[in-house]
Amino acid sequence: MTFVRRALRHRSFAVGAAVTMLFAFMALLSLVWTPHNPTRINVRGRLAAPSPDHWLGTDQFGRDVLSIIMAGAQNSVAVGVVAVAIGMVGGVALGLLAAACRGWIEETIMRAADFLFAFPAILLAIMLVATLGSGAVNAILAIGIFSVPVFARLARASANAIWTREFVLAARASGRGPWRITGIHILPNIASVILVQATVQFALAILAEAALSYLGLGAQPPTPSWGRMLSEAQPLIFQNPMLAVYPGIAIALTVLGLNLLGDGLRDLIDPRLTRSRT
Amino acid sequence: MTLAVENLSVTLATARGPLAAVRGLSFTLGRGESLGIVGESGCGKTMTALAIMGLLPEGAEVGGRIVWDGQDLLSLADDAMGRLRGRRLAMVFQEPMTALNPVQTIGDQIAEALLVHDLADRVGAMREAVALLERVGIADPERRVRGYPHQLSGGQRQRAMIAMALACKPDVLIADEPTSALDVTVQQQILGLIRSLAAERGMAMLLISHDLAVVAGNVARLLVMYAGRGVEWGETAQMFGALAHPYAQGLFRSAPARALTATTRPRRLPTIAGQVPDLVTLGEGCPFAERCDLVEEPCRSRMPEWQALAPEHRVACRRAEESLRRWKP
Repeated sequence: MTFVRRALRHRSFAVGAAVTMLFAFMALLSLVWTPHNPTRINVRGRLAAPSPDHWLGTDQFGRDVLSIIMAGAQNSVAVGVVAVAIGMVGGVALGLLAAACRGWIEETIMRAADFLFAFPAILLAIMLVATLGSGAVNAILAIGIFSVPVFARLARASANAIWTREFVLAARASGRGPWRITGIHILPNIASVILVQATVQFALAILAEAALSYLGLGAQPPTPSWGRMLSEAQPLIFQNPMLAVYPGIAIALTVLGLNLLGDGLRDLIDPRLTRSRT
Repeated sequence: MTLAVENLSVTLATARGPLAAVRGLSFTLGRGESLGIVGESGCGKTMTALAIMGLLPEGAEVGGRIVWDGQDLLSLADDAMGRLRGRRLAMVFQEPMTALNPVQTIGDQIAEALLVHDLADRVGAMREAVALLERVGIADPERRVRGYPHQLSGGQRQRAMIAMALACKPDVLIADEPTSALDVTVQQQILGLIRSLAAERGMAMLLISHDLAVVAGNVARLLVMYAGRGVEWGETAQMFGALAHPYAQGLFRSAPARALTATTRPRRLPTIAGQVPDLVTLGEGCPFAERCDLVEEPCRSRMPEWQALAPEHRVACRRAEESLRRWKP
């Protein structure tokens, strides 16, 4: 069976991929088109109920909620992609270095990772943003940095497992040095695990960004952001609860989609798991 | 260019204390010669091979000398050893499935050896890989070179491993149990292939196995190891005519192929009484003393000296003459 057919038959992968693609499409579409300008304030039309013109109504500034949700997806996707890229590149490089060098280099890297890991992720991000100053770029940096130890630990553990395999011994027997072995034998063999972790981290990054924006440490007004929609809806939670529900649903659905995608990907990439499931 | 192992010892660190995996092992292997090392699991065969390749596990202590081409490999720096590995000294491993990278094509893995040592460019290396696959008897090499290890059968994988080891035309080929993971029908083909390639290229060959029968027909000389020590060494045919060490005799008698075809067919497979000694607590005496029926008191306290039974046949046993008298090949 081809990979594509296997993937489509895997329920959680198919659902996860569909949801993720829907949000990615929404983010892309919002670059060129939204029903209304998501930042245009219209005092007369504030807190409007859903109508054919405003499908999800308007907020307390009269902005179109659907347009903000769509434009907010941009922000979430950008944060997820950049933060995961930072965490993955930095973490995997450190993890591979630790596994290749062993000894004190490995100890230093891993203890530093443990130190970072010991802080709750959000607290760490808040600390970093507090030091660097708030703003979208710093929020991305903070989220990226806190995912470095996650990738570093995973990469080192998986790489160490590969290092003990006989084909690595065979590679050493044919004269290959540690860097060449890392590039040719270790990285390709741990790539699938890293990829699965990346989807999970992507979801966590979106959550973290929403939390930081909610606290006013992330994207600054008027940049549309799901987290800030939540904080802006908070004072109106009893008069107009739907204003909080819409961004909440957007965040929950995206995270759920990414987690399903990650689970499915793990099953699909690891043939042993797939077989034991059927 | 002779490979001379002199008084080699390998000690591994274990939770129970130092484990002497190899003790005072010596042998020489000249250009174009072949030597088989035979012994049971844990007798130090593989550690000897890894010591020569400089690939002993972390924390292993090595003593003695391994002299090759006028230099002591044990005192060579890492990068100098890296230039020899694969280029002059090559190794074939036991498990062809685990010794090949599952996510890299066969061709890339063979070509890689040539690229590491700057012996070819990308295109030349791939062309050489096809030629090597053809030489080791893999059908349709142009297609196989782009295939992955799981697409090959066990025997084909071992052939690919051999092609990898041979890529740089090494001077010494070490084959550690190259056929133990293969079907009996494929074993002799693979051994025949290794032997003919070694002869064709004038390589020295070190063939390591637990199976006396596998080794016997394919090497000029034989070294029997027990519990980290060499106990008998000799020219193969001569040795089989007069196997002198009680352990070597026991090993020979317990080989199923021989036991089943013997005229007086035994009802049970002959075995050697007792157990392999604990290498952590083993003393200075003959390691086989506790299981030997000819044991004398001095055997337990001091390792017997080597004595020559013929110009090309030596044994480390105090009671070799008595033992030899009862030997029926």
